[in-house]
Amino acid sequence: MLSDRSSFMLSIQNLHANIEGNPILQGLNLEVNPGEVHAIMGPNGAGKSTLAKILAGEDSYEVTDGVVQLNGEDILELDPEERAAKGLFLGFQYPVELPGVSNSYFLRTAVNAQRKARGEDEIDAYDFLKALKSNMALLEMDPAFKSRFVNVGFSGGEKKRNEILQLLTLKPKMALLDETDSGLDIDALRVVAKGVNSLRSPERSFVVVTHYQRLLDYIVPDYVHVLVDGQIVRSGDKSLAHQLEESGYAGMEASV
Amino acid sequence: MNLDLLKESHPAFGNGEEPSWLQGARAKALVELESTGFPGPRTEEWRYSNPKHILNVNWTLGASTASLAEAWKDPNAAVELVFVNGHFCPEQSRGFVAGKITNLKSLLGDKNAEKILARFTHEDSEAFSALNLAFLQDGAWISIDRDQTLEGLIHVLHVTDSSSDTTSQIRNVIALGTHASARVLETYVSNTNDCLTNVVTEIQLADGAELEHTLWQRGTAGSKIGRIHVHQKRDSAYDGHSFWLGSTWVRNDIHVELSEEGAACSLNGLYLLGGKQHLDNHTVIDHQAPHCVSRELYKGVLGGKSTGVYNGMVKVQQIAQKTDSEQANHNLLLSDGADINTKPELEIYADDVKCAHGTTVGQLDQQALMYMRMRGIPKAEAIHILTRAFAQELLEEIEDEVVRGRIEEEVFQRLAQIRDDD
Repeated sequence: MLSDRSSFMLSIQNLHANIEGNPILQGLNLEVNPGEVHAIMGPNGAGKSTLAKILAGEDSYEVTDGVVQLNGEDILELDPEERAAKGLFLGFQYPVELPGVSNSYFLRTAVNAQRKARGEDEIDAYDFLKALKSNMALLEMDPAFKSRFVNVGFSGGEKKRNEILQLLTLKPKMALLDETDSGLDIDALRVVAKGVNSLRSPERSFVVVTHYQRLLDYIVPDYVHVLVDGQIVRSGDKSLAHQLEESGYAGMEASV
Repeated sequence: MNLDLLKESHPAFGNGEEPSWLQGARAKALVELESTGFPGPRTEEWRYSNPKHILNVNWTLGASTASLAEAWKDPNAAVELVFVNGHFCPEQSRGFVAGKITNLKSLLGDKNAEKILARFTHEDSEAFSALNLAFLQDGAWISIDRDQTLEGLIHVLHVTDSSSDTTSQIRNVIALGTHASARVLETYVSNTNDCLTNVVTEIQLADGAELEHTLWQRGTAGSKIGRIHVHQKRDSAYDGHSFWLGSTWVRNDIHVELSEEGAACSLNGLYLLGGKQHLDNHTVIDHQAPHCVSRELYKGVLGGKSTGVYNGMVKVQQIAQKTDSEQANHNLLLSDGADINTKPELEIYADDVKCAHGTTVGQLDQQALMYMRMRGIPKAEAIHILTRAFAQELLEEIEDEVVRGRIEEEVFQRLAQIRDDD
């Protein structure tokens, strides 16, 4: 009964997931074409972050039904590292600290691990450092962050910038950004958006999870979806975000 | 342990060639040992390290098989003193300086050296130190004159390796004169389980003297008992590092006396244990004078069914005002079967001091692992990176880059082994 979905970058069909027996996602459908930017909005507890984590391979959730395909390939059985090598990226809402692991070492290891998994050669050390340097400049990051331990002692805004630095360096095909705007002041938001927008291309897609419409003024989406109670209850263009900003999520309920 | 059997295998018993003071010291130590006996499970200091399996073996002294040392030598060292099964191997050693940097035994005719030796050898009341003195074979003697800075590395290599219940009884002496400085690397190697290395190291730092002292245990077998006494005078600095890559059974004691103002010591230790290995680190830092500084950081990575003990005591005497002391012990358990007993202790009799201590025991951070995997790093590699990062802090403390690089390589290999152990 499944139609050919290989032309989609990301295709989610009837996704159900639980955590400790409690249903979080209850039949979620989403299709993302190459080059598109989709925003997912919704009230607290709707399942936005859960969706992002399940897609990236977090194993503390139990997927009970549904299919997720990346470029036509089922990914739910793949390890997180395999999904990453196939071009999936999750920018964390709360980036994790890695004491003792320097930023540039971490990034180079990640780049090379992905390349190895794809059967490609390791990146040239000089090329890597050059790219890292220009990406940091774009994000207005102090070069000292290169040798600092990943996220250790970073402010909230610095951590988010560092996520976008990873995005720019890893150049995924399908980027999921989980509340990248939370905790950012307007200047930091502008810089983060600049980083994301610099990567927009016909071959790359974004799913941006956010609680606020504000981010979407900077990263302008092609589609906006409203997630309530583990289902997408409304989809539209960017005007839907403005509408939500004014009227809230009241009246938008899942049809379970 | 059968002391009579040990006596029979020791050349000093039954021939009268040694100076009388040493014969006397041996006899006295034996009497002491026989009256106090060895520690057992009810000895508080040995509570988590029952030496039973060492005491059950009939140890004898081994032969000097110089060829065993070849693989462990350090071409980068300026001076190298090599000992195999407790015997000095002059043909394997190089750069030694008569009377100054040499083996202990070569000094027995030297009146000045004898005075120093005699001073170091009358304090032993602890059983394994008494055993060490009674059956002392040889050891390194490193004496640096005042105002002398030794640029090159001094490497002391001790190999105990034999397949027949062989023990080495080693005593090292490092004495630095006023404002002298040196770097010493001590390597202990054993590759069979039938060996016991029992070593006592006496370190004396005169005013303003500085010593970087690195202990590196290689090979993953055998048993070792080690005791280091550090006596520090005014403004001296002791920078101690130890890297334990895992032996069958190890007990280490370090006792530092900061006896005059401005003395500073740092004790860093990394222990990597797998299988059924056991290691016990007991440290005492005794602040006996004002304005002394001590820093202590011990970290352990334990896998398999290994067991570890950390007991770190910091004493601050009443006179030792303005003491500045920090002490920490962190442990990473890679398996459910691994076990660590950790106990930092403070005993403070002065009122104007700054003392901090902390200890942690934990598993690898699962969130960190997931984060790395989501960036494409396979799980096994992510685990390796995180355990390496845990150990890295202690490697970075070694100032000598060549030494650091060599130890680092082996630490990383060992971590990979422990990880795959489980």
